[in-house]
Amino acid sequence: VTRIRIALLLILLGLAIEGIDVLSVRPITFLAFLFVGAPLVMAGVVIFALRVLRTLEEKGAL
Amino acid sequence: VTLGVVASAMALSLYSLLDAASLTNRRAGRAVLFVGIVVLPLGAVATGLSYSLHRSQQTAFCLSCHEMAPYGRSLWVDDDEMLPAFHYQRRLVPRATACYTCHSDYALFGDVTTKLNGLRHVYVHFLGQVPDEIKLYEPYPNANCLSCHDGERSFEESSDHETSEVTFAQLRSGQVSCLECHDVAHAVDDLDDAELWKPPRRGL
Repeated sequence: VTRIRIALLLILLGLAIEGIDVLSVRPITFLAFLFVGAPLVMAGVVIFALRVLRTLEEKGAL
Repeated sequence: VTLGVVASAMALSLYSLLDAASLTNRRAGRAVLFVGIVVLPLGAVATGLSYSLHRSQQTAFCLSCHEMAPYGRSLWVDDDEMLPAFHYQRRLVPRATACYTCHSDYALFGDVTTKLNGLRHVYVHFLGQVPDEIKLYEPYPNANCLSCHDGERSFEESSDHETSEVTFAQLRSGQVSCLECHDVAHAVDDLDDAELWKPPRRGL
């Protein structure tokens, strides 16, 4: 659950940066989304995916 | 739409965060987690990227950096000799994407090159030294003019484009630059004395 919470926090942070970019028309917000926001979301997804894989492995489902 | 997707993704992620322990114990809860952590966030990033890339082509986006302000002002100069002003005021280029229309190459990787150059501009704006005189990386390519004008009636019928000094073939091959004759572009150094065109009606 801790890993999932960390993943969700990263995703929320990334989405918040994306939200600021969508509401603003400025190069700096676009870059923040491109180089910070999107990677944070991707990191969250990867952490979640790894957790799911680990759980499936532990249960012998893989 | 993009804002809606982002807001939905945030709402579901927040719900999942607050109720993570309970959601992991139920089959339906795990499905909610999957949607809240994978499907919606990835969808939000994809739509956000598409939206932002599209929006970065807008004139307002280019002019949001103060270095570009004189270039934006030059679009309103009341002088038909100035190419950007002539095209912009007569809506020969889409006003919403005027900069991008004329300054992105129409070659295969033109869009990519333009975006990469844009990244370089932002780097220079925030971390580098903005040059006193802003210049194009390369001489302005005829292909950018011809992507609209080639085959266009006034271009084809103009006797000035087929003379003893210049031919259509030379223009199309880039041997002779369009700017050799049409040589007044933004002319930002002369803007202080320039008269601007004021649209007679609001909302133009």
